[in-house]
Amino acid sequence: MVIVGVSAFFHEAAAAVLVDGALVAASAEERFSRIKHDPRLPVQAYRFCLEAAGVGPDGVDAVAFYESPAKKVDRQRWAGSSPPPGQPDALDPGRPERMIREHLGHAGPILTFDHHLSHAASAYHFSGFDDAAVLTVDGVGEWATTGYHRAVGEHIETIDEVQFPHSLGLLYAAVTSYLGFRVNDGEYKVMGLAPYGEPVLADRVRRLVRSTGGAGFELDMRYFDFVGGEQMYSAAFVDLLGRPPRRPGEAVDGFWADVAASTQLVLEELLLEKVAHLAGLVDSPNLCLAGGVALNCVANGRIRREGPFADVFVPPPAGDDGGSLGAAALAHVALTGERPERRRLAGAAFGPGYGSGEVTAALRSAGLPAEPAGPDTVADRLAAGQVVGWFDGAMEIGPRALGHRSILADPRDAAMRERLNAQVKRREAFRPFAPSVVAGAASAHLDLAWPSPFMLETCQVVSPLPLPAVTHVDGSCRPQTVDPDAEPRFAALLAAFAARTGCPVLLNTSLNVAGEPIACSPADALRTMAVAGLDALVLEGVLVEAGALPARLPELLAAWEPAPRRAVAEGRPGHLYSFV
Amino acid sequence: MRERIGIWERHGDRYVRPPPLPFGDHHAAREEIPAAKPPGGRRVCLFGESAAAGYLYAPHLTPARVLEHQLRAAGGLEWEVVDLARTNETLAGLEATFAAARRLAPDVAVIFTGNNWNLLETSEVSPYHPTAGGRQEYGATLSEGGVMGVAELAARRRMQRAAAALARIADRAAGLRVVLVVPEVNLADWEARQPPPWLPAGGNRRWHGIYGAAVGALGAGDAPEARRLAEQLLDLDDGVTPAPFRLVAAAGGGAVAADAEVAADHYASMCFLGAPRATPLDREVQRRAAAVHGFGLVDLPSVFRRVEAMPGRRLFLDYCHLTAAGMRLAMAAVAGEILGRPPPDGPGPTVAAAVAATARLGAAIHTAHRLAGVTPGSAGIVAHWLGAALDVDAGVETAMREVAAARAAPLPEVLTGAQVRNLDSPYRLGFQHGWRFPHLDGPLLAAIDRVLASRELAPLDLPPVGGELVRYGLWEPVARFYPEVMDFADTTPHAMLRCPWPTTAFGFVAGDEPEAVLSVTARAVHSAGTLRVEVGGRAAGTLALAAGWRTGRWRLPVRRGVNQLTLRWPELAPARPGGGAELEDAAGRLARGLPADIHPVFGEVYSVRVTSRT
Repeated sequence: MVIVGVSAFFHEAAAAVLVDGALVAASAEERFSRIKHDPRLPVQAYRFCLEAAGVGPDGVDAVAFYESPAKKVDRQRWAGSSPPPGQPDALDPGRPERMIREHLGHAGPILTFDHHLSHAASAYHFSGFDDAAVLTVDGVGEWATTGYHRAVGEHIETIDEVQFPHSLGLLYAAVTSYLGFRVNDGEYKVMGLAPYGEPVLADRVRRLVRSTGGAGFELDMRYFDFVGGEQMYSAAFVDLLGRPPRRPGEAVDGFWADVAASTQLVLEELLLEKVAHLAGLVDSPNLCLAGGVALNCVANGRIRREGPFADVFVPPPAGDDGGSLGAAALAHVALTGERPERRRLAGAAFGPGYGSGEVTAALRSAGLPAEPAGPDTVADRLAAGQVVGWFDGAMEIGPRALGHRSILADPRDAAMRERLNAQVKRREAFRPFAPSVVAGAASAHLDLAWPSPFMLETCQVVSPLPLPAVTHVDGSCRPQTVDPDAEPRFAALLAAFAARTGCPVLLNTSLNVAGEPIACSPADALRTMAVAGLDALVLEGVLVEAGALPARLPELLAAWEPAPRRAVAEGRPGHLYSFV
Repeated sequence: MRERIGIWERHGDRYVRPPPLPFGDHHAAREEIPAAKPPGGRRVCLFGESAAAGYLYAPHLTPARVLEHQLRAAGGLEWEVVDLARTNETLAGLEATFAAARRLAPDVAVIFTGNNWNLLETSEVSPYHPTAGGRQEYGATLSEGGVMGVAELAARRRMQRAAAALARIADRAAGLRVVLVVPEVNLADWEARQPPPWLPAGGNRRWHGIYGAAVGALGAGDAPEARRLAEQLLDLDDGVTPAPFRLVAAAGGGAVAADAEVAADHYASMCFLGAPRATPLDREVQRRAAAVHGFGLVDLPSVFRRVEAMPGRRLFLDYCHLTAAGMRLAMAAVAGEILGRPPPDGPGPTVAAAVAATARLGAAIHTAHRLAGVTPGSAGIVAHWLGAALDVDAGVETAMREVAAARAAPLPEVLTGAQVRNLDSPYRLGFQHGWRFPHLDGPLLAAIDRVLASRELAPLDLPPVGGELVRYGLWEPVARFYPEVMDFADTTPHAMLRCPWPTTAFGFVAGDEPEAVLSVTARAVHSAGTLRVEVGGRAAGTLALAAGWRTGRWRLPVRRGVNQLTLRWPELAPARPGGGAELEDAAGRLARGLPADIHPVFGEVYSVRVTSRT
């Protein structure tokens, strides 16, 4: 049974394939199209999935779509949404099926599932749990913005939900917009900015949103404008917080950090309350989280530490890209009556991989000398302060690079964070970097009593070593614990670095620069190396020195690709959550 | 905000442009333009599109430079020609640059434009337009007037826009002497081939059958038969597609038929990539504007056809860009109009042999990209330009090898060592030469290999390029661009290739292994029967097609180097009862705001995979 899950038409379009219930491949379309957050039908990701599954289009038993088009259009029409440029049929509920037929060439069954149910399945069916409570939280799906679910065996039952316009995701998006960052992109920045501030405005934020007890909460809609407005928040919102909105590029002072800190705190309080409520509804020691808000790793950390559940699972693609996994799993249950393979995801490497032959051919074409480089060689360079691109095996699904498409550096170097933000990643100076640590050594450096393989929760740094490049201003970090059984090559590199430095931790950030998707192919990696100014790049165990690249390459690349490619939804202003 | 003229920005007493980009840009390379004319001097400003910018020769040789040389050669005044031509120029851009250039106090403005209008000025008239309103307008026009009605809508709108733009330029001229240069296009060596839209009563099936017979007759030297068959095609499609006119022209119909072919190329603005060429209507608008507004007129069709009845490769590098000889002839006519007498005969400005060779290589690349695989005679044209490049400077062989190496690389050209070497070469290729091309350049690579062999030079040494050919291995440019030809950023691609021609071809590069394994996954759309597969012109296998996907797998012999793999689709299915319903279906989709094909699709290919072993 081959089932391809598809999420599309909002942001992070993706495809995932299950073969006889086992997840074989998954990828976001942006990695192929090189359009950040590409929302279009995931044509290339679909082709990749079929290739990985070893089937042609006639070998696909069903396509599963991650939301219910009619319900979604119903809500969009209610909200006065209009089609964005270039998508005149965006409000046609027949569009997903039509495009799957006409653009993917799929003639077989198409199953659709509710958006939050797809999120729930993306977590539960890949958690390895026999049963779980599942909380899904995002901006909005069809009508639901928050879902409370009970999962047992192959069944996921939605117990309760909160509906649009009351939405924690939209609250966070409105603040993201108010702080001058792009909605659906800058939420990480708000979270990263929060520790620089104090939650002195929390009482004001609590006037924006209040719990109504039980599962419910409400936004005070006097402060928001989600219906046909030019921005997400009203004048009253601005008056309440006390300053006109920050313009993009404007200096980030303490006030903006305080807004971020206050919003983050209120979000965490509400999530902790709702998780506790869910624990009362579902008799299970396990919690699954999914939806865009489940990418808030600070909140996830508190839920894990302070919440009532013994175990918590958040899938690496917790956002809409993960909807493709969830829909495929739901379709598998619907068509076979059985649960997909019950196994906890040990890694996120379900994207394309490139063999050494392909890498060698690429380097030969590039005219670059190729020098084999084992963990010792790479560790030597990292220990010497070099910033190294690390391209190894299959690409990750989800927003985090976990040792397959990573930029690595020494976390002990206090100047490294500034260098990486300014010169390499080209992003705001306050953005933190994450550590990767060999699982067995994690507890010596982090206040973390369980594995965290996907960088989806934060904890305090308790290391005897100074780790300034990966320690946020509040002493926290967002770690990846690396299990040598699941990630043997990355673990070997960490071990080699530890052998040289006594530090089993590496700074690990994604192999891309701001505004671009994470590298997928060797060509993407070489391009990133040139643009980001990496000292070296390791492609499937082959080292490329920065000095081997033509000195003019960044200039040539800029001329080759003069305009950054924009996604369809980004044709709309960046300060608006796209409701279509 | 500083004053600007095009990309030249005012700094004190001069206008300065940013340094040219590494692969070239759309503007003249001149870095500084003094705001004031030299005392006693005369200044001409030249406006226009790529043909006026000296595409493929720029910045070394341009019409502006040739014109200046000729004007000065006439003696007397110290003439200066300011080159404000711009590749990809539009009417709006032309107007803006013209208005800004008044600050340079020119004595004469020369406007050499019109080739871009058919592609750039009415792209909204398309069944793939990104707005519902655009699609609905197209659908309504299609319902009322058929495909010709849509073509007329685009032409009418284009003429109105061009006439209005020229009228506004006349208003702004206010005493400035303006000379319009009416473009001539390549009639002998270029071809505008578009598949026919849905024809009534099963006409498409007959059309393709007759077309194949006509091409065969022409190839066999039977011009009368080819012409007879071409007339049948015209009866069938009412002249809505250009291909029959090309057949008539090639079968002795001459320039009149070739002009008719260019006129019928309006279909390009709707579905398929065409080449920018001024149509007879575009030229007529300019002649009328010259008469109405009192502009001087240089009518290049008249000028060129006095030299060649069917202007071709002596005057043109490709569809509309001029050779050095073409530039000299055209600019001599312009100089004559400005001076009131012909300029003295004499050699034009000289260029290095490497520059001429690179321009000719660019002509080969352009021809391969737009014609090779599509038109029967294009392989000869590509070979001609490659040979001509080697004739003028044998060193250009290195650039040919660099292009081939970059195309066969599993990387974008910009990341290849071949590109780096070429940057420092005297045969430096830029965007204008087609340097950026995200596909295996099968026809070009094959042509280079043949030309090298004919001169007993070492063959291309390319790494094997196989795997999934649907991604990048196409041979046919028209199929490759369909339907993503329109510059609509939001167009969602297809997971499969849709094939509007009876044949679809791919290229791959084989290594030393004598055999390869080929698998094809395809399905019929409007055709019915068996797909035939050929490699290197030899039968390799068949696949019975159906509405669902079918996969065939074969082991086949290959030759080292570039191989061509051809899929021959079965005939289109017989007409449905009440033929013509297909266009109504298309109009119905368009009325609902959905994009629609207005032509049949023989089949769809999901995968063409060539590997060295099973």
